Amino acid sequence: MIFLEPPPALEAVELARIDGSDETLAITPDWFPIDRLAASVRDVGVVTPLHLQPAPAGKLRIAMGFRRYRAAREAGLRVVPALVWSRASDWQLFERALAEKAAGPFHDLERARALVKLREQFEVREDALIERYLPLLSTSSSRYRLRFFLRLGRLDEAMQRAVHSGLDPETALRLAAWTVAERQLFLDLLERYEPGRNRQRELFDLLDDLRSGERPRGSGALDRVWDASGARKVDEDARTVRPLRFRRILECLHRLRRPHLSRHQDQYRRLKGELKVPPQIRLQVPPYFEGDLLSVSFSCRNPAEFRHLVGRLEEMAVRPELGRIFELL
Amino acid sequence: MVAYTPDRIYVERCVTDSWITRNVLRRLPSTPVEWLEDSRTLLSESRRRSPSPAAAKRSLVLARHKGRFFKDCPASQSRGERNVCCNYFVVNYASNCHMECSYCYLQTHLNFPYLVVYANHTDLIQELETRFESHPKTPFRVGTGELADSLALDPLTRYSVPLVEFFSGCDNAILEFKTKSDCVDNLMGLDHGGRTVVSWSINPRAVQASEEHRTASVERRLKAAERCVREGYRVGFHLDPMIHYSGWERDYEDLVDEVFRRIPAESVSWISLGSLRLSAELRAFMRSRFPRSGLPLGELVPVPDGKLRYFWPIRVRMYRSTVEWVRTRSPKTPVYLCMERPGVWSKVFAQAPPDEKRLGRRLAGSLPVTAAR
Repeated sequence: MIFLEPPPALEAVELARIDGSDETLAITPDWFPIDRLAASVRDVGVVTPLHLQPAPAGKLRIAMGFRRYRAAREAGLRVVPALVWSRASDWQLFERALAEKAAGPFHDLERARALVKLREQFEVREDALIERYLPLLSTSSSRYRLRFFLRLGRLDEAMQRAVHSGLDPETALRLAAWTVAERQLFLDLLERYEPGRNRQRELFDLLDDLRSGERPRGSGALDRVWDASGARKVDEDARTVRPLRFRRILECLHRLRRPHLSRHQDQYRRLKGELKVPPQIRLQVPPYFEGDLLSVSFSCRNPAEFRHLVGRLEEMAVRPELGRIFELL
Repeated sequence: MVAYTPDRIYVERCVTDSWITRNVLRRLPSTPVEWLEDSRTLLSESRRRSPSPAAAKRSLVLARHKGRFFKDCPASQSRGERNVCCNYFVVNYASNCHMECSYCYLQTHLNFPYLVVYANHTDLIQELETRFESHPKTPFRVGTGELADSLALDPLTRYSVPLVEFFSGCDNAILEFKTKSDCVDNLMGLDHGGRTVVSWSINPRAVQASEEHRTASVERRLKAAERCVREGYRVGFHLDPMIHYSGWERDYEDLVDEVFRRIPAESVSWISLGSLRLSAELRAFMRSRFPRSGLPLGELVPVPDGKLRYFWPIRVRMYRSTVEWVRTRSPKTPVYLCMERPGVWSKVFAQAPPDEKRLGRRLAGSLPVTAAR
């Protein structure tokens, strides 16, 4: 990193002189929690100096150290150690901030914010963002990744906060197309059931497909889906434990999304039940019943058990239920 | 069909003198032309600029095809338990399509986003000649519509002319043009010798209007088919991809009925049926590019060949019904399924074809191919 001016001397700066509201060069959103940092600052003060720039009316603005500034304020400090850069440009300071930040872990939202600033504030071309800055931000260098981060960085604060709390970022980008009320329903579900990312995606895909297929389109579509699937009833059934409720909600939505497949699965379960398959014998249909082969496997401990299971298989082989299972393939 | 007029033409210097290149440049005298040593340089440019699919297709590239033109149909790669293959072959003399079918797999299949025509047609014909002569007892059905519409660019390129004339002299091969256009002017007056089938991919009018953007209307496709029949060509119809929606039965039956009311059954070489199939990537792409399309919202499930298809009872019902509608109007017209597994064939036709080569021969057999059958 090249600076035209020599590094300034370390000085003690009064907190009151610093204008913390100027976030021109901030990379981390100001609502990111700082609990641990604040505790450390309370114990030992600010160890790493802030980087500041002169601002109008004798004030200073922050180039690096926004979180340290907030922690210092929370801890009630009056002065902090700082380096005041009088001639370095915004661009030079932002590049330096990025380079320093790159030494530690980056949150996706920080990457996104940095790239949006580079693109919009510093007008860096997309090619340069891909070739130079994505690797600097420790992520793969592709246009797809760049677009992903730019979209993430342009989400509103509520959505970014949801991502910070565990919402899958890809899902967040798609969720942004929903109405505010629909988004809230989804985010409430995540808060209530705390599903992992795969389950979040499954839930989102189901709801998104179903609401998109609703006629008339537009507001109320998700509500209608929620009612028609029976998911609302399950969601409101406080007697059932939460993980089970969530599983049932997914089942309700799957049934509405794929009614033919659901009927098929019900029929298969019923026929298998009627066959009274012993637990040692496993019947396996191909995924989604797409295929011609029914797999049968069994395990046994000795020849007598083997003979017994073969006998059971022979009995099953002539049962009409088995024929009907094959018809499902 | 909305006629194709590119904003810019790129020409590789090595095809400057090609008949195809001259045809295109003569018909587009005011379109800017840029000369290139190698069109592959455009690939890196496209990656850098990442133009939208529609914008990229406004550039036409005339290039030399450097590899083999003649290939097995991609369905043959999943033959066996996954899919029944009908022993079809393809030649790709163009890549990409200016029409905008929402479900088109080319949207996520091609890494080169521009519209390309391979102008070295003499190499193509030479390759076909060698192939057919070295296997004189094999009947070849060769299609040109895998990576592009067979005829949509024909008003510019006139590619159909040398191909029809070449196939007219082949004893063991037939050519199939597959199109959603009505561009058949260049086929009129050619000596085709009965060895070219002109076929149309068709769907009910409602599907065409909502999903097959910039294509010729069903009416215009059928009018073009009528013209071809009057010119002595055999024609084919591909009800592919069939779309499942409320009211599909009435619409597809009406379509089959209209085909056989307007086209004499003895002029129809074959009818193929296939259902909507999407890769997961294409499905996601469609949802963002065609947000109003209901196709990705159908009851699709992943199948062993990696695509998403309608759950099989839906497919079987659509196929069975359509086969029935065809049979009642034309009992002898061959009907086959495209890219379907043997189990589905069995449910539709009572049995899967025991021998794929025989299936290919049966389809070729509806034409005057003299190779051993």
